[in-house]
Amino acid sequence: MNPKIKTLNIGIVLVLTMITALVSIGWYISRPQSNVLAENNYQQPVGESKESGLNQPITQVESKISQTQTVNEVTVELTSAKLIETGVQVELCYPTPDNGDWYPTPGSLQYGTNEFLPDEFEFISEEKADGIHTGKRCVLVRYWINNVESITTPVQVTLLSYWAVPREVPPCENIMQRLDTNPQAKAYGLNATCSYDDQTGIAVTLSEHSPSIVQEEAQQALDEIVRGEVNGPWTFTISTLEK
Amino acid sequence: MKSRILRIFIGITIVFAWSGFKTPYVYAASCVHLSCEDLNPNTMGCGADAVTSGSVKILADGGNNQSFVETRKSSACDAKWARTTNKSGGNRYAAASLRYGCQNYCSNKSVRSPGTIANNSTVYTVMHAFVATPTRSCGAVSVSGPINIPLPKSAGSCTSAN
Repeated sequence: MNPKIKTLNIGIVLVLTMITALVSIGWYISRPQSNVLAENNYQQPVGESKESGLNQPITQVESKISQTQTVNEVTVELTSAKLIETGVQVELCYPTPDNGDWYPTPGSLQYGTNEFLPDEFEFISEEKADGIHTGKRCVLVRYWINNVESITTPVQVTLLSYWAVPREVPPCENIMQRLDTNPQAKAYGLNATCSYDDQTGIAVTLSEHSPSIVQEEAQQALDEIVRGEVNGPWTFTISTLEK
Repeated sequence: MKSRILRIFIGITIVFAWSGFKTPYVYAASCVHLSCEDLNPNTMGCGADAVTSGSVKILADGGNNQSFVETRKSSACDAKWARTTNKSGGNRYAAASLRYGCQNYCSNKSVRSPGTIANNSTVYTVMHAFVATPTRSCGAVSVSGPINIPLPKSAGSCTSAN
């Protein structure tokens, strides 16, 4: 080929490539970005600011008390336990199987012959599952105890289970997003179809799975995801309460 | 030299084209700020990025006592609403009130189930504009009903301010 024509051709290709790149960059920047799914909305626990004025009988001070409990191959971590003005506050972290909205079902707090039901909980951090890795959610659970000074250690707290509360989106959208971000579903190559009816509820049907697993195994995995509940209980015995 | 530059530009083009066409979750919120007032967060696409605002209050429910009420908020829609979840272990009447305004949360958006709802089911109010609005959410889960709304402010059945 004539060297001049060859140079011209290369020049044209170069210019076209540059234009394409610039248009791509411009289009990418101009399009709306997807919303961030995770949020850390940590707030100071109610009444915590007044703690310094209290005179508690339990004086052990420890920056962090970390314990883990594994039940059914699921490990839950207790990362802190402290006295607050209104009672006891514990921090629990649990693994989330997918990017659903996973809520804890905390059990009672017990010491001696006393038993207290949880009063409230608050999410403090979250790493969302992304289809490759599972996620992690940490929550503060508070127990209302009238006479804080009467608390004696050891104290026992339990996380009964945690479950995926449906988001305020169409039910099938919720379940398909969870399926899409579940590492086990990805590993099993699970695909499903979903339909929803006001009368009959949600119906999720397995449409495809990896040939490396049998149909029953794939169906069981899908059923677990749809059920959206991880059961314990995970029970922790706390010998030291932070003040 | 020119072919090297060409390869670099082709590489850049491929990277940006891939980034542009890659399909993330796109949440199409159909309202924002005041245009969300009194609308359903589900049908307006506001539930997609919704998170809990502040603490979740656990309610007595005549069963497991694991039902709860919370304030939900959407940054995309800049709006909040209250949601009550029946986790009693059985069918229950349920209600929620999002309280806001005045110095004592005198205004509200409220909802109640006309009949019982199943365990693990929720009821939620319509939206109130602006996530920065100080709110409290009150909830009730009961074996009898329908529950009277708006729900009163009480420490036992309402979240703290959020």
